Amino acid sequence: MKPAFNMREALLGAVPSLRAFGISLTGDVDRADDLVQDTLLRALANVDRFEPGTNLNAWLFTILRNLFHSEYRKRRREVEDADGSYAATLRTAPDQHAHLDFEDLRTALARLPQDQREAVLLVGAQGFSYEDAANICGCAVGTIKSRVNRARKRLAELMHLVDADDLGTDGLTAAALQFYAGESGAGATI
Amino acid sequence: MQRSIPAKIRRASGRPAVSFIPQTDLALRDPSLPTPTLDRTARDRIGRELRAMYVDLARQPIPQRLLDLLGKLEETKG
Repeated sequence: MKPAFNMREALLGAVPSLRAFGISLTGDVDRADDLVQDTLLRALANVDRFEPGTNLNAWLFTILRNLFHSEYRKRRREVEDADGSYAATLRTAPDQHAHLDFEDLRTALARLPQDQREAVLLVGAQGFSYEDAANICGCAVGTIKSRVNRARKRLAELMHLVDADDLGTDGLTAAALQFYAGESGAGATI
Repeated sequence: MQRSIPAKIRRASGRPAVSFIPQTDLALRDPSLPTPTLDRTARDRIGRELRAMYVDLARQPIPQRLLDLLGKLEETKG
């Protein structure tokens, strides 16, 4: 008899996006694979806590993100300049030809504060709803929206897609972005 | 394409927020028209690049050590 829910296949199906998230988050493929491996191990150890039918991806991303943050806190004690160390890892990313096209984006992502980086990756790249992203990050939906908006604006500046002056006052920009966020709804395009 | 501007934006700006009105479909726009709002263009571009980068990363082969790990799960479960 075939089980209704095959955890192994479900995990296997989640691995590519977990890796994409891990690599985008850390800028380091090896570190990302360590995170994914630990995520799988932890998921397997806690598999009875997962209810089939609920969002497996959100559960796995929560685990990976928590592992990343506890590791980050550990590393922070060792490395003073966390942003600098992240930027440095960009140079060592394997499979370089695959990333050249996105060099500007990766460099810009590296310069975002960590909370904004994860928010824009979860919503803008992975396509989670604001609600799922908020659950994954353990914060309010409004906080996620605000982080995504700030990340978007900062990425546009860093990638020279927009002249900072053209954005007008911060108030106007914030109001306009909020308007978009409200209108586009959960999980919509960034 | 006239649309009402939310009061929130009008109040915040003190001037018409016309440039922030979302375009309904950029792909269908006449290219000879003035460039759509810088914000919208930048937003769309960032969104596209983020997703493209993500797809590119997700397409990479899964490392053997992760496959081995999941393979072990299959064995233990029988």
